[in-house]
Amino acid sequence: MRCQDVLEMLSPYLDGALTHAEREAVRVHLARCPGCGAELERLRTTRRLLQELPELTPPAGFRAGLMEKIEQLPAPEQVPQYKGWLDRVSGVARSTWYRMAAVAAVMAMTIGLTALWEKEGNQFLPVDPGARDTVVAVQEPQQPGKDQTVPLDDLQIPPQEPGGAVTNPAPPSLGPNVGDDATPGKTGAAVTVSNNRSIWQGESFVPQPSEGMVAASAILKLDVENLEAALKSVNAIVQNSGGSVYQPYSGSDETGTVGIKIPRSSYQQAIGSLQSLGNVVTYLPSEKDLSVTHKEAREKMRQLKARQTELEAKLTEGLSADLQKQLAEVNASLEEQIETIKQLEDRSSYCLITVTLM
Amino acid sequence: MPLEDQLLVERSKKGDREAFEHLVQLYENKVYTIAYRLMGNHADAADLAQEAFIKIYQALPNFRGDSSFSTWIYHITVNVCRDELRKRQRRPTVSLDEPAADGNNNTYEIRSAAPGPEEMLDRSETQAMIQHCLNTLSDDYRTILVMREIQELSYEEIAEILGCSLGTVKSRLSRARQALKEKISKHLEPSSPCKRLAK
Repeated sequence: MRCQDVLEMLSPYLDGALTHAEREAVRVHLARCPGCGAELERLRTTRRLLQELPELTPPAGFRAGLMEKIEQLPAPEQVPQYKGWLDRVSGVARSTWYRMAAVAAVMAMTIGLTALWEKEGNQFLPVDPGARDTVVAVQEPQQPGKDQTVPLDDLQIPPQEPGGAVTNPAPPSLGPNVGDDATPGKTGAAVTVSNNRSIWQGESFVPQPSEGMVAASAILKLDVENLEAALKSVNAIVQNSGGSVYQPYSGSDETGTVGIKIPRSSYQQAIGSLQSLGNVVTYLPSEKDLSVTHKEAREKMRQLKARQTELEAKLTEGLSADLQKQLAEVNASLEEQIETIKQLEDRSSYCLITVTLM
Repeated sequence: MPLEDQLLVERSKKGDREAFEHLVQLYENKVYTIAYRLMGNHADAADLAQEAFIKIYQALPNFRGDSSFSTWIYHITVNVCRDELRKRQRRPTVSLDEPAADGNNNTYEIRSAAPGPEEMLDRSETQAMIQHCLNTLSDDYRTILVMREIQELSYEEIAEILGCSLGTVKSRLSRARQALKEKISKHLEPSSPCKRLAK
């Protein structure tokens, strides 16, 4: 294992947050690399210094002032907390007005469908794409297959005047606002089920192929004539290649290090320009394979998606707190998995170069 | 949750202000310390610790005991401070000084990054220097360090509060420690202006 990789793992190593294999690899490296060992000690000291900061006491009069403010407040009341969309949907589904609205909606849709029924051909009229949101909800349950179920998060209940029937659907909702705008107690409200699935954010994410995915980094030590000028040139190279400085220059007038991030696409050109700034003392490019981790993460994501679809299908058959909980957990894991994949993909899109000027 | 806390919470929920004052007494040091470590000065720490307690008071009926009472109130405290820091980021007044956190270039120093005379009075030089270094880190770095090293939260708890993945927690914490370590090393150099400042 290279020093660069070990250095990145020292913080989780301190916390015991590495896998057994990673931990062993770091331990083996530390046993024979005094540089990394010293770095670990510095990190350990930093942590100790922070942990040893004392607990403080608020200034005099803090509590009295606070209690004065509290005295002026009304007694605390149970206020509705933020609820997840599932809680909201199930809350809506349990309410009396929703049940009445649902019955009214079914009736209204039946009437609407009857109107679409061709008298002679006994077939539905071709569906106008513009009206799809309204009709699709009625049609799809009649067709076997994956799209048979209408996800719960698709329900939108626009407020309606009494006696309203199925009308044009409301514009797609951008958030879990089911019930927020609805007017409880009004009779004859209609339910519009749109085919829009905008609540679960990870839906549209498509991972990249795993093959050839690497975390590239390099160490470059340059002997330069004029350090200040060289540093300016490094910054210019970073800018021209669309990269960024992730670790600003630290060091003295004679030697120091700057950490830069260069997009993979401009790496060759950038490294060429950097090397021309002085005599190359060391150039150590390295690549850490990310493809296996990425592939595993994709597979996990696929499994979670399958589970999500399964749970959503079950939920359309009947709401249950347990299923809702399971789905919420699956959604949370899925989001986490997507985040991991995104990070891997992001990491593979650039190369980290530690440039030491001397 | 300790029985004492439980009783005090139950009574406070019913509007018993005396019981709430007891709770404040039990937790004010910790809440105040978190606010101070995050905000970097006593004036902000006192304001935000008060604000946190007011939020806690108002939200008490919704505290169901899923987590311990202390975890719950520290969580609220961190959120109150983070909201304030975010507000200040939207109206930045100080120059860019920090390496970008997570590719985000909008990191600014917080108000009064340097400790004032009162901050120095009852604190040792090293402690004041560490706090000064913390103050000059980006908000993201400072927050994650306080959560991990001072509140002693687990990676999972931090991920939950920050709404990010475990991977992000791991990498951000690593970079934050690195950044703090470098600041501290710099300040320990004999000619460092901050060393002089800390005296």
